[in-house]
Amino acid sequence: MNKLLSYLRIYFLNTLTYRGDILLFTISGITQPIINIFIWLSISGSAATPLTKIEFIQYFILVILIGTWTSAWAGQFISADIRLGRISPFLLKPVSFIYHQIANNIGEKIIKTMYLLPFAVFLGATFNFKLPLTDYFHVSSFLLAIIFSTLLLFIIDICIGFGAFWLDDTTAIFEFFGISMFFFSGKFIPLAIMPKIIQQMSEFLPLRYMLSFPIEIFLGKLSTREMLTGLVIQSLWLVVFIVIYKLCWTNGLKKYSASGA
Amino acid sequence: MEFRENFVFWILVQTFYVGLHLLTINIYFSFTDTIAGWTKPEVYLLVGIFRIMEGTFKMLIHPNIVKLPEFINRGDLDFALTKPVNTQFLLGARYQRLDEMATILGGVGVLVYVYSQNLIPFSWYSVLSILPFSFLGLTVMYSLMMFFVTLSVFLTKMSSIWVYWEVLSKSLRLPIDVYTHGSKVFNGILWPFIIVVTLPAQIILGKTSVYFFFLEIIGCIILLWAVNKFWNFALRHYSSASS
Amino acid sequence: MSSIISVSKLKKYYKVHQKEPGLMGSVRSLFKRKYYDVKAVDGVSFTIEEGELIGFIGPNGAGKTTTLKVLSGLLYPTSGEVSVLGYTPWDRKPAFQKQFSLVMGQKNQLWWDLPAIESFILNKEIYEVSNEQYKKTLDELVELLEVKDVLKIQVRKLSLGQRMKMELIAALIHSPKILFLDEPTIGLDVVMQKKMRDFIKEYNKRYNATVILTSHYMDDVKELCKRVIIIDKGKILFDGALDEIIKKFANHKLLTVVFSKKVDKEDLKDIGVVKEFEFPKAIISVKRASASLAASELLQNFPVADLNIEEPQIEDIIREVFTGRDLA
Repeated sequence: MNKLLSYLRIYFLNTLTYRGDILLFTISGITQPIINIFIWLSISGSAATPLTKIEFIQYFILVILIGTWTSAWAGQFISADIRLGRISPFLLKPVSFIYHQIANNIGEKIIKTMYLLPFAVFLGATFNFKLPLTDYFHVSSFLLAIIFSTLLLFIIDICIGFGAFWLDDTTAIFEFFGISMFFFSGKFIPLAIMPKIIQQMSEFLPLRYMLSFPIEIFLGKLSTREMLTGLVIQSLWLVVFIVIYKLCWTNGLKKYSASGA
Repeated sequence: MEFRENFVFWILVQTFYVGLHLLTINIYFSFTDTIAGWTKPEVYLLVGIFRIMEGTFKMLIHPNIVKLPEFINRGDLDFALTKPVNTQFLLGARYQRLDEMATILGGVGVLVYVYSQNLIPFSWYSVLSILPFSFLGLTVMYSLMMFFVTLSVFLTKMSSIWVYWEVLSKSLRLPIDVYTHGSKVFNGILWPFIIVVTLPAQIILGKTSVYFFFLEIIGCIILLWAVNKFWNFALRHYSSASS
Repeated sequence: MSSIISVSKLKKYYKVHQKEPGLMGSVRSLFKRKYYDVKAVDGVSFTIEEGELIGFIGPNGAGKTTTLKVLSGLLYPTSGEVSVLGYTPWDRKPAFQKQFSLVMGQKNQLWWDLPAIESFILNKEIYEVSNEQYKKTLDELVELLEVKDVLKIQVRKLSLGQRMKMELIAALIHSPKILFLDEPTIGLDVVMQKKMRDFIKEYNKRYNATVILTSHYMDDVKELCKRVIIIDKGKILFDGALDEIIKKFANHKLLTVVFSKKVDKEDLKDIGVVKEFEFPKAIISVKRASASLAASELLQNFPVADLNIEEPQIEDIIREVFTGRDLA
């Protein structure tokens, strides 16, 4: 535990020296949701839509916040490190490889949140949003869902990164994953508006559970039963991918030969 | 990865992405007939023009801009004005940038579709004018990118200038009217973004008078000049700060 | 369990596939790939006792770095047995990892944008070093390397020499029993090289740490190692005292001369064996004992603009060891 905390500390310190760049990353992350807000406001302006203008704004602000909290980016760097033999330093030390990634992930998110929170609070106050969280059960389901979502996306991202143990180029898989997220996770268009078939598929695919699910809980759109079912499906997917992660890591390392000097 | 395998792959990827983009536009237009005063075929046209510009930009200019942090850190201040097209890059072994041909082809494909299906009345005048507009659009893209990159010299460690292109690219894919809703104030502030693609598309579609073409040229010249001044200022400031 | 490191018949082969150039080659490689073996290490055996300072020398690609990587657990061998401190390295048990350190010249593990001391603290936690032990070790190393003033400065702002010193401290903060050094002096200037060697010697003496270093610089080895293992093409060519090699094989030196006026090659034959001759430069091989004599002869009898006395290249010595021939 001490090790993880030390890593967290050093990553946080390091990220602080990069706060200018992190601001840019944050801006990059909010660009598409903000564009989407404008698009849906325009559409709502001229025709009827399933959600009201306010609901659209609310939804995409949540996409920004929750999307940032659940985001993961280590995978592509891991692929590059594997290809270039740069994971060797991690293999020499008595510390788990994943600590680095966790610390890097959390460290950056802390700073990104510091940038985003004022922005979100300002927007919320402007549009007079009320926190729709009702009772303790609701709150705890929401928190649990966010934690699971973060872990799920984090692990899947790393598993794809591990593809570099066997493949020359994992870009294609990342692209494919990105596109799946596009359709099934609610990132671009709220799942509630998507065609029925997509909604049905997203019930059991892991993608909804990485973004849309916590948002749905937050907005109070789910019944208790739906919340519980969702949490169960989330945890099942989590277990599946943890197993895949361990298999990939063990077998991938066997194949890995520290290349270069 | 080697050029030949990769190129085919990228053509497929670009085709797919263009298709995806058009699909999302279709989803938007399933709810309404016009968005901010633009019909679906008109938005398609804008998308086609943008893809052509984007592909050209990423093929010729972008590779040079991403090299700037390197030059700056090396103190290579002979870069008083960045050469937008460095022949080294065009002719050298930078094959992967030729993938962006696929983006250009994607844009052309959209235009072919739009005109062949007669969704937009065809005229040689409008098609041929895409060329000069693309050139002007490129200079504006370049100016905008360089403006933000120059800001980075002051504010960041320059490791994330790729963000600027992402933001620009995403926001230019739609008519700026979607953001400004015709508000004169916002149109006034965002005019560089407007003249990249939105204005050319409007002129070609006949929604705006041709005379705005000349305003466009003036706008481009002003931007290039202003960015050049800003860039030189930044370099002088940077070199004095880090001696 | 006497030896601290024991290697028996170690083999490490890589499978590499060859891609033919051109479009047809690429297509063909999609279906059927031709693999061939690269024998990086091909049957290597040796034992090392605690406290030894050993040099692995050999030309580039000889297998030195690969052997180090197997000893540190980075690579699985194709076959053979290896035991380090009683452990099988590639099991990568934390108890094993806490007792050694691998430093690769030119590769840094320090955090670039933070003061070096932060990297030390992180390593302290990773290797579970107690606070008292950490403070003691840190003070000793800082004193030995004279870096007290720059501990709190960002690593990116340090000079190359200071950075190397910090790298060493980071690698040694957990007082490893075994220190693997891969090309430690590569890229350093002459002054830094000497400082590095002095430090290694001192560290080995003071802490009785076992040090294995790889290098293709003869001077590294000469100054530091009593025992030397010569590796070439994945096989050990020689394992023994350094004196023996120098006595046995490297019994000549090279005089590199730049002449100011034209000289006849034949005349130089009196000085020694002319290895290279292209005006104005020439390289002459002379017996070790008579090197300075030969040099003064040259200076007296020939129009010399510049003269250097150099050790023969490692490659030459190894070639000698391999062919068993004396090239003087």
